[in-house]
Amino acid sequence: MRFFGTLFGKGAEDLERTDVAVQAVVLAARTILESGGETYRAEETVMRMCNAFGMPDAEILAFPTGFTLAVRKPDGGTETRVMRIQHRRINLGMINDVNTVSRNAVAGRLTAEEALAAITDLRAHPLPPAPRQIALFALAAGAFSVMFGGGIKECLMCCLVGAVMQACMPLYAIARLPLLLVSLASGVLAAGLSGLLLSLFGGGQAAVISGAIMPLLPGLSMTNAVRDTMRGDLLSGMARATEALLSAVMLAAGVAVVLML
Amino acid sequence: MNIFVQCFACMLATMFFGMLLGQPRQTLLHTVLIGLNAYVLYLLLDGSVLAFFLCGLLAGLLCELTARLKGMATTLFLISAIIPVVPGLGLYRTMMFVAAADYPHALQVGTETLVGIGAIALGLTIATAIFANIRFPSTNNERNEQGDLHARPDHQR
Repeated sequence: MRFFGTLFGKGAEDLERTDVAVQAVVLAARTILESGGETYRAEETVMRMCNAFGMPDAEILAFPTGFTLAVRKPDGGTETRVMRIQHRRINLGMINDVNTVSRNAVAGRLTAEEALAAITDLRAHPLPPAPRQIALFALAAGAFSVMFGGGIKECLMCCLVGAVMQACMPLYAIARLPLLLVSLASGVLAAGLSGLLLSLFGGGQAAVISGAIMPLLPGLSMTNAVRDTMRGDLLSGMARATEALLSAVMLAAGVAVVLML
Repeated sequence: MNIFVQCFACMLATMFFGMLLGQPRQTLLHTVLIGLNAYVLYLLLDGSVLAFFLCGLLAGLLCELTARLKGMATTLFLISAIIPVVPGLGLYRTMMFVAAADYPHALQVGTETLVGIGAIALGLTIATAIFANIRFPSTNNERNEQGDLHARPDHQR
């Protein structure tokens, strides 16, 4: 009987609503993973949102590089989605915003349509503008160099190096450099530019170079690796630990190559 | 004097780093203070492996506590709060020794750096494990016992 009901129009609206709900859930998981969130956060968000949208029978398996999701729809069919996460970029604000949307959805304050619209809206303007990023990177690098015992001269040099490093980031994206080569290139840039400035103006090499590479050290990957592993997500934990280790090594290798010259 | 300059630089560095990662504005002050605490402890203990571990533990505990009080995700606080303690200088020194082909020293400093990172991670892990077993009296039903995630859906109660 249920089958005929679905077949003859009664369930059409239901079906459409389910479709929107699945879209919203998939977009939420994708956004969290693309912003560098923990895999367990993506999984929990999806499970809770599925529950709230009337699809309690759902299962998701997420990795830092993708996820698969299977939900049993109210009409009895199963919907499976597989998504590859291509670009990852740390954005803590985005993780927080998606979290808020999903909380509201779970509390019943947002329908599936509204949740989908809210997340789409969030994704439309993901990051602060480039000049602001350059300024922030420069200031952070300068502050780190003072932390490592640099004076005003070292601080200014480090700011300059940091600004150039961040300004080159969009170029790496255009050239589609893999993540690890970006670390290598940044390391080369940090050491090369610092070396040039130091030979012109003199100063403490350690403070400048280590200050400039500090903002690029994979702190988020390392922390998330620990947190994922603690939750029993061994695959995600290992993947992130490898990522953290390799990008630190590549960064250092870039510096070492220049220092050897 | 020098220490105060370093501490001030540490606060600025934490703040700018957090802003670079797009951290929400209302978490910045907390992060800066936690980062400062961890860094002062690190300076007091003079950079041994134990110092890294205790700093990781302190930062982890404070971040978990703040996250629960604010009802926000722990990661938001943790990432920038531990950055002052991450051994960037150690990494640089390792590479200096590698570049100078002084492998015994490179190995020694490199191992120290890696062990330091591991010690921070261990401290964070223990902090997370401690808080995973504490239930906070929830003042607001959007907060569950994990604090950093979501409300429990009604039909699970």
